[in-house]
Amino acid sequence: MTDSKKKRLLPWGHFLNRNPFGLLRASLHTICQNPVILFPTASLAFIQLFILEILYFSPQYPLAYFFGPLIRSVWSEEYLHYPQNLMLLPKIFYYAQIIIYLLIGSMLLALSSKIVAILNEHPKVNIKVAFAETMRLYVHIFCASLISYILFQVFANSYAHLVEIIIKLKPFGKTMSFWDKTLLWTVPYFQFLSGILASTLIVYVIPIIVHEKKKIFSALIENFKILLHTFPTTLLIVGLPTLLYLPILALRNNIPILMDTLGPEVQIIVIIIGLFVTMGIDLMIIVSATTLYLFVKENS
Amino acid sequence: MRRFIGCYCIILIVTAITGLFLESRQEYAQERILWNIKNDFRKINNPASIENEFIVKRILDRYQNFLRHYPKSELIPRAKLLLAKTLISQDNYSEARAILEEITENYKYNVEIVAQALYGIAQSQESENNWPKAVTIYRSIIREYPLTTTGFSIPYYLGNFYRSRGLNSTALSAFNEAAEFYQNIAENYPDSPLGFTSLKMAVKCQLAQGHWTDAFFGSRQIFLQYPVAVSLLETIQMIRDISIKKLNNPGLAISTYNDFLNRNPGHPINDTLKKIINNLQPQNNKPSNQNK
Repeated sequence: MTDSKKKRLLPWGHFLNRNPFGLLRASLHTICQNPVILFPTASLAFIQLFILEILYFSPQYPLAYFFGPLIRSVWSEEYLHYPQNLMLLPKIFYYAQIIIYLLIGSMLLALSSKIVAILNEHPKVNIKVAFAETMRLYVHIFCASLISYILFQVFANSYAHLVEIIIKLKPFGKTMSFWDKTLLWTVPYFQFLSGILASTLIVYVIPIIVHEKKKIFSALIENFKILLHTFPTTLLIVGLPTLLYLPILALRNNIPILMDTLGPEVQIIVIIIGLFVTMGIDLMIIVSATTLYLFVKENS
Repeated sequence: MRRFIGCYCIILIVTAITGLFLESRQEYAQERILWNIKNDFRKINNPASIENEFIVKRILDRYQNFLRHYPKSELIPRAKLLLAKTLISQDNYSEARAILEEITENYKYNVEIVAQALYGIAQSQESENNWPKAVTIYRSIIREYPLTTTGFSIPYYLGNFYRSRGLNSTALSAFNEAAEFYQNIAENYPDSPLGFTSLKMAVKCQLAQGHWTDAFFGSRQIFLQYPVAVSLLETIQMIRDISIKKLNNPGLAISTYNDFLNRNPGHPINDTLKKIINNLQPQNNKPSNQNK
């Protein structure tokens, strides 16, 4: 059987015109029809929740023996007590998430991409084999995630710095005007858009590394070649699922009010909801990007 | 895959249950109970009103329950303090004072708690308009526990205490005493967070008295002695405001900023300082200021 005559298991027909909505619908369909794709995401969610539990219990016995001196020296004694420890929790968990994403998360997302690629060829997936094959490309996947993280930081921080400069340009001693406050308020939302742009710019790198077993630099070049033809579609398949994070962002921006009415524990609930939403978004993006990548490859 | 997800769930649930079980037997759980009671009390708009009587009574019961359930807890003195404060808000001064006096007797090892208990007693006297007694206790806290958070804040509080009652000359002498108190601490603990806070408090007292020159030199000392302080911009602003608005002499601010630049080359604030100096220069060059 030639390549062109192979039976396609994924619903390609829905998005032949590179319709991002159709593509996202097809990706959702693929995930529902093949729950095995959820395995890497579920594993990642488990790791993150486990770390969150560890961090939540860190000011208490027996974890306090290890975390106590650390928190005391970096922050202060009060962050080992209720409710200040809950104020610190999102910050520490954010740092932990960066490490998890770089070391494990990217690898598991690559595994999701691998599973989608396998499902395109065979109805059954051997997770162990897929994992072993992905693991061999770990260094390149790690580099790709590192580049993605750096790109996001550059975009996000450049806007924050710009706002800082604009505010500093004012004559000394003047209080912040309405516009300054509005500018400051936009920072998290601009960072959100930076995240979309950074993800879009290198979204195909992991599928290319996993599928074509290319090294990081050739994968980057290939990624930009694909992006050149598919940028609007790619931006939408990254941007549309990411919009689901906006309510979480609004929740996080209003956390002091929520804490006052519902109690300090609301921090944990917001973190957990944010974690599941992020997992869902990442899964949708990687499945859609891999599907589009395979489609482009087959039609090139 | 289902097996794996089942395993994940079991691990997470077991960890959570173990953690929560250990938590319930530790001080952390007690901290949470106390904080929740205190927070519920904070949310009551007018605790002394009759319609809130039942709610406040429940708060008091919760404190009593805490004291009964955790008699060996290290948080007991704190719980007693909070209970006494709640009683004071209910105008139940005698019962509150009995609890506070018990704290001062039984927890002498914890100077901060004892200072807070004495402060509570003084506050209850103040609420009963027994000013002389309140002032005597306040002064005893300053004398015996000057370096506790409570003792440290009282000298400045006393100045405001007199001022709010319209006793302006007494208020001025209290602020004067307070400034001396803070300056002594600053001299005894130089280059420390305590020294820094003391200098700031001394400046606050001088500003309250309208001693602008002293306040300027105090701010100058803070600025030059603590170049890495978080509130550096606030100090710069204060120096600028005092020298222009109160002393009508921008040259003082300029010379202070220049001293800082000379002493701290490469400091991140230097560019901002140079801009401020440039902005102040035209004001300083006015004939009225040159004469000074």
